[in-house]
Amino acid sequence: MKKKICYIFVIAMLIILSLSLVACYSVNGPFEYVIEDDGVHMKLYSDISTVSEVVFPDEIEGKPVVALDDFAIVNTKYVKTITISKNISVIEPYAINNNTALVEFIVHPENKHFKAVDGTLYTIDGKELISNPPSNDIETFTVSRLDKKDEVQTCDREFIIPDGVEVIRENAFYHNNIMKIVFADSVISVGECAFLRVAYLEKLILSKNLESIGKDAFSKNTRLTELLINENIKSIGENAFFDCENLLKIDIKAKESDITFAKSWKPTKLGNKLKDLVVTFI
Amino acid sequence: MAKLNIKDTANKAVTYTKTYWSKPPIGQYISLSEKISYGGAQIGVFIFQAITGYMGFVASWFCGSIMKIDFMDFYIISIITMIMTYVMIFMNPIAVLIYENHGKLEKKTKILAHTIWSLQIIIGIALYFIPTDIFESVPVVGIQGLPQIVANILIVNSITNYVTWFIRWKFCGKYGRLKPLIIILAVPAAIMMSIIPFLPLNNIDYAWKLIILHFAFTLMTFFINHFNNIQGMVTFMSPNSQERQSMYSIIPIVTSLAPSVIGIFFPILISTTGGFTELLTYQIFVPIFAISGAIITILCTLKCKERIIETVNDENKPKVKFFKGAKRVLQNKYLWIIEFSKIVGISANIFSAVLQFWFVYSLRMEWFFGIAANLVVLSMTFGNLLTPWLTKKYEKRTILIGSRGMSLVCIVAMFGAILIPNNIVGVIVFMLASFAKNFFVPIETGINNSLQADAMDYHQWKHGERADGMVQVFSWLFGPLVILIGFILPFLFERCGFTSDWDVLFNKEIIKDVFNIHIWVSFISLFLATVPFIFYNLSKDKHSLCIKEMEERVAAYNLEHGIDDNSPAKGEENILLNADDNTYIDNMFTTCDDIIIGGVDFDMTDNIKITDTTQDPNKIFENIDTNNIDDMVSIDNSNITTSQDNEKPINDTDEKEVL
Repeated sequence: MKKKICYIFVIAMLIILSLSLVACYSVNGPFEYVIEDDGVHMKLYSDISTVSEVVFPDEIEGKPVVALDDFAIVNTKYVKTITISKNISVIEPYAINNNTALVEFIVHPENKHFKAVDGTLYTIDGKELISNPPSNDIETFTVSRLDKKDEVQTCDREFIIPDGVEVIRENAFYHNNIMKIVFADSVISVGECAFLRVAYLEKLILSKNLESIGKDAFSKNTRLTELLINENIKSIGENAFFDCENLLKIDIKAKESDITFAKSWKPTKLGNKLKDLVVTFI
Repeated sequence: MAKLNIKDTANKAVTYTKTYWSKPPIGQYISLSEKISYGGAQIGVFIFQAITGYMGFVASWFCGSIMKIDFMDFYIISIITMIMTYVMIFMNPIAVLIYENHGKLEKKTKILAHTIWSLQIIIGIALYFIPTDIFESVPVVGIQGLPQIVANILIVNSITNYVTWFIRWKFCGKYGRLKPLIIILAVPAAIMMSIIPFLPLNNIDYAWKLIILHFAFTLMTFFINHFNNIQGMVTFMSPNSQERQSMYSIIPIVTSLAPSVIGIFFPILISTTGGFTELLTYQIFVPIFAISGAIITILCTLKCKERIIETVNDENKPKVKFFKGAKRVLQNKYLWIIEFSKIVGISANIFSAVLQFWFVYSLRMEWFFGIAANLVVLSMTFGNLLTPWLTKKYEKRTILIGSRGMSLVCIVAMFGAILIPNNIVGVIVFMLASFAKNFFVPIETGINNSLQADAMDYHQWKHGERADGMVQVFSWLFGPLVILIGFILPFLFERCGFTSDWDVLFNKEIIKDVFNIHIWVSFISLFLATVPFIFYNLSKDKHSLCIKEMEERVAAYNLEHGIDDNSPAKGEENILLNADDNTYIDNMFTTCDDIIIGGVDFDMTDNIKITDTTQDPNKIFENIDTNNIDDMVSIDNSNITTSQDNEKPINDTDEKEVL
């Protein structure tokens, strides 16, 4: 009897081992997806160092791939290009995020919903900037500092948001590497976490028509020192400048009473108020 | 009157201090100054640990948030490590011999050790030259840098074995089992800790970042594990069990203030350098805490003395045969229950991470986290104080199941807390639930440890030998289950976008999902860990009976061989003291009752191993001098009743009931 129990235990453990081993190995290759009524929704991508070009398939099991759900391709280290296939019509806010080596997006020519310009992903009408790859147009150079040692930086020197873009989507520039960003005046709104922790971001020129800044939109940009917000601003979201500890001067060309401020919108140092912060309203 | 009393007490204290500052009280071994030194050493370790908690090779602030190591990679490395542990299992007996014999090995064994460990180093070095991505597509253990991770394990294993061997051979025979290791390894522990934040890993390929960090942390963990073992030294500082007990219970009352104070001020202190998620914090504070902690510990440990220094075992063989011991351990159903419960309950306390995330990412009040974390653990003191009373009044199993039931209720309250829309109200409710839950934590830990000790006593009673070291057999057996359980968290986190990027926690929806995962997993884990105890039936009476019978066996032996209570029994035939040979026979009697302090059960019988299986128990009892037994036995045996239990007695060969 005892022997039988021993055998059963050993077999059970082997089954568990096999299950656990199989569990972490996707049989569908690098993609995980679900098939829904409208087509295939991509759910997850497993990063492999030998694969730098990810092409979402047009179809899986005879069904069109129509959507990239949240976390469809996030936190990769080796992916350099992502190709959006022809049937994809929905890209959720967290679908493509923090892919550190990503250089460019490519959109299938037959896709009717999205387009890529200079590696950046937009909606087909160009009104919404979906995502800019963190390694798009980056270069390594030395920056001379008057007060400190020279600094070697690897980043994009300047990104100009093209005219026609009205909305900068959630997470669009999340964890990017850019020194200076210039908004086109067509930009009306900046989404949640759109510019969260943009490494090396020192200069930010906002749109004249900017109306709303989302929650955590510019959080963790510690190199920003000053900012001008133009007259059309109507709302600034919660923690919009969280942990921008050197952003000590904000000029807002509008009346304070005309703006809706969410709580803790001002720059802080890890949530603590900045003593020397000056916010002026014109 | 009151003034007089205070003055009187103060005078007495001064006299006591003066008298016993440099010499111990009669019957004791440790002077007051040495006790203070021991306390100082413990404080040094606490200072050291203040920051190591944030710097393990796990999904912590340092490796996770700053170094951006993927959750799943930690998991895959744990699988690789487990497989390598199985592969290197055959070397275990040599490590045991080194431990037992203070590094003095037979020539044959020496050659074997040198051959294998040198081979490991050579293979390891060769593996570093294999391309990092060559086995990346291998199912399951496929990871960037797989050959190099394996190389790290092989090389660190060899290095650490050689280091241990050298220290034991050179110093342990003279200075004791732990003191040399604590003092010597404190230095590399502090150095390694201080170096890691400065490793130039920023612009390095991810695979090599993983490999370097894995190597550094694996090596550092070895140093730290020895350095942190200061409390274990008490066992060797005095052979007097009562004195040891006072060392365990009184000194921590003062020294435990150190981690509390550090815990409160640490988050405030690091807010000056950017908090938990900034590398600068670790570059500045790790060297400060690690080096100062190590120096304090070294200086204080130097003033402590291990009085029990064993001679080398001339037999040069492991004292319990491995397979026989393992087989017997696997026949102990209580150990099965306890070990299985431990494995499935491995994630029972992960809910505690929620508080940290809540303050850092949701409330953005990182500076307040230290205070909050200390507030919610205050209830642990009450739990500690209550545990001995509970154990006297109720069966341990009943207390454990009841306590875990209450803990589950507290976890349900945590679910409620995260559903509250108001963040501040939510966190207050969560803290209250954590406070209540933490009240039960020391009870559960204490009872669990106590049950383990009882099961060991039972094992000793049944088989005539302790199984303390042999219990690791369960960890080998349950390895696959551990892998499966370890897979759950990274699997779930991956599905809510939380892998190597911690900034996603600024998103309200994602952080809520992460909270839910932590709490659900805690709930299920705790529930599953409780279920096996329904089958645990080693009652107080049963246990007392086992203890009494073992006392009688030893007493009979002592009488027969004319062994004095206070003399060591080393070398005596049939009474074989285990790896910690230092224990005196009389400890068996004075300490077999469990003492639970600070959530830890100090079962003083742990060190005793009696393999008196050669004599007919009935013959032993013919020689018992009852009066003598009564003199020696200090535990309360009033509850002991006539045996009605159906367990097999003493050893495998003798099936007769003893009492």
